[in-house]
Amino acid sequence: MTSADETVFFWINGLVGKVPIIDGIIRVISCDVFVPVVMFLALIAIWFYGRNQQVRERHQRAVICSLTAIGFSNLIVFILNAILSDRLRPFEAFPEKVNLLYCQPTDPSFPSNAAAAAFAMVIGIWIYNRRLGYILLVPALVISFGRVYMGIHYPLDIVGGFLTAILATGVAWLVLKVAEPIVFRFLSLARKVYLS
Amino acid sequence: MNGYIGSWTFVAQYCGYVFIAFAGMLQLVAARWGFHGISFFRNRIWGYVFGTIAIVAAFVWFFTFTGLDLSEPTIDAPPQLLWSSVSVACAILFTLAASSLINRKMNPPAQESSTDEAGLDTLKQKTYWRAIARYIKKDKTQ
Repeated sequence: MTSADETVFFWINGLVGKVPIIDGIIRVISCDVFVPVVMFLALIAIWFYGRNQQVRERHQRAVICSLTAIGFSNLIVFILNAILSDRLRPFEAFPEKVNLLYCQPTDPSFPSNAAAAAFAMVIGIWIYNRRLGYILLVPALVISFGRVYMGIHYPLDIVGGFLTAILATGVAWLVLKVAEPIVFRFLSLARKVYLS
Repeated sequence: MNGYIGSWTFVAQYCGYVFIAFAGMLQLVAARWGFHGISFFRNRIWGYVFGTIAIVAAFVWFFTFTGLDLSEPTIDAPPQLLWSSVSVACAILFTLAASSLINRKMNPPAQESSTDEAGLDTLKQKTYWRAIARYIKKDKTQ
């Protein structure tokens, strides 16, 4: 498994330098100050999505689910990082061979926090609106590919991030089911001040 | 302060970038869903144009003209969350305040909504300021 993981990693990372403009684009769209902003721009657009109150409320619940899932995914990644702290990043394990396009993160490699957060956001939306979920899946996949391309994650870290996102969204969904009165009150309050 | 991480210049630039992008996105959604009360423009087309330009300009400026070096660490996750939240809140407040000022002569609907909880739909016909003022007034009389 590890060998296959490394093989796929080196195949993807080996593409660096072939088309410099693609390197530049991936470097920007997969960085830490691009992805979260795009994700939250999408969430604010989804908050307003819908012609009437009923449709809009469904999407606002999707945004709440998404944000809760992102929170849980961060927590799960934090725990897994502590347990699997000995897994080195590709550029640490193979400093001579890896084409590093980004700054060197200092936290453990598995699972990918960026992938977990991006997929948690997508799955949270997908539960409520399949079409929007599939649309948002595209940037999440691009970001995940970019993290491997830039030399800071193995493909298995991304898969781990995806599985973390599924788990986190499941937990978020259950928590929100239990906390439905709180969600209802929050949305009612937001509606009273014309923000929902 | 460790190298590039957390430098105040970077934080200010990051906040500006998030603020402009979110202010642009709010204009886009106002144009798309007809929330005239929070739009800066009477014509929807201008809302789309302004929103798109603001978002694109924010990204282009931040990634091209601020001297951002992606081979150096930029910002840790907790301060990033903090500054992003502050910037988004400022963008929302700015949009609500500026649109209320720009649309202060906006004609309120002939018939007021019968429910207190008309929510966002209220902003299709009223500015945020007018809606909140009416809510407070009604709350006091009850």
